[in-house]
Amino acid sequence: VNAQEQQLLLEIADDELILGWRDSEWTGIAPLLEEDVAFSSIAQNEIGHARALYELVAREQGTTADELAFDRSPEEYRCAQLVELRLLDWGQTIARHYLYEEADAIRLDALKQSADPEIAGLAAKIDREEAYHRMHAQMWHDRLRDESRYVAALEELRPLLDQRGEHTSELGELLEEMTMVRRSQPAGTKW
Amino acid sequence: VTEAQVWDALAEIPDPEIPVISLVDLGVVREIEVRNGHVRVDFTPTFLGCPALEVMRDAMADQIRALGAEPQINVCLQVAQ
Repeated sequence: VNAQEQQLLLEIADDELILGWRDSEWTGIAPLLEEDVAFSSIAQNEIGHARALYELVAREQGTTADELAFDRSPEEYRCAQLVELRLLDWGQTIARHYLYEEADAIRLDALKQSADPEIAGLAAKIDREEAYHRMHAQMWHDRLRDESRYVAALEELRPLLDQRGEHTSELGELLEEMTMVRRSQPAGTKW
Repeated sequence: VTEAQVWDALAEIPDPEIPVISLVDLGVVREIEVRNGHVRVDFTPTFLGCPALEVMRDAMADQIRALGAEPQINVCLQVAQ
């Protein structure tokens, strides 16, 4: 796994982790119970993908998946601004979900062609699970596509897919919240 | 320790979610290799967000140690062709 591949894997892992956290914020408050379960499950999958990707990179870098996920400073994360935002509107959340899954599918397709069998294998495993996320996103997209609020959300959020250099302030705030318990104990604590 | 003994030992571990079937029935155990008292198990979780991944890994390692062998549990993410 060369340095360039490690960067790409980290980029995907960071996207999946941050989006998983943001999606999990809908647990218990989604518009209907079926959706509550479905979206929570999607959030869990995304975090699972992040874990597998971090493990692969961590092995190359002599660190751990947990350290990559939790112990970096916000500037070191490579996620897109799209996944960083705390969205309180369900339509906006679905717009993000749809945009993300569309872009993620293209990225995973390329990764499945990797000459490294481990990377290609992991990409294929992730893609198999993402197929269900895409079906879910498509279903909601078809339902909302004529709603002006939803269309506006797609237009507003789409440019953020490619914004990776700089982060929003919301990423820093999220990381503060996410690592609060971890930071309450000395580094190296065995949980 | 023989490969068959390891398969039998792993077949005693219940699936954490559906305890009436074993990890072997579940199909997550892909391959077992026994060499000089070391046992390598390749296993593939049903999905990557599986919260029981560590539980299954530890349970398999415990069973192999009980046979007097040294376990190495690999999470194998390549999908069967």
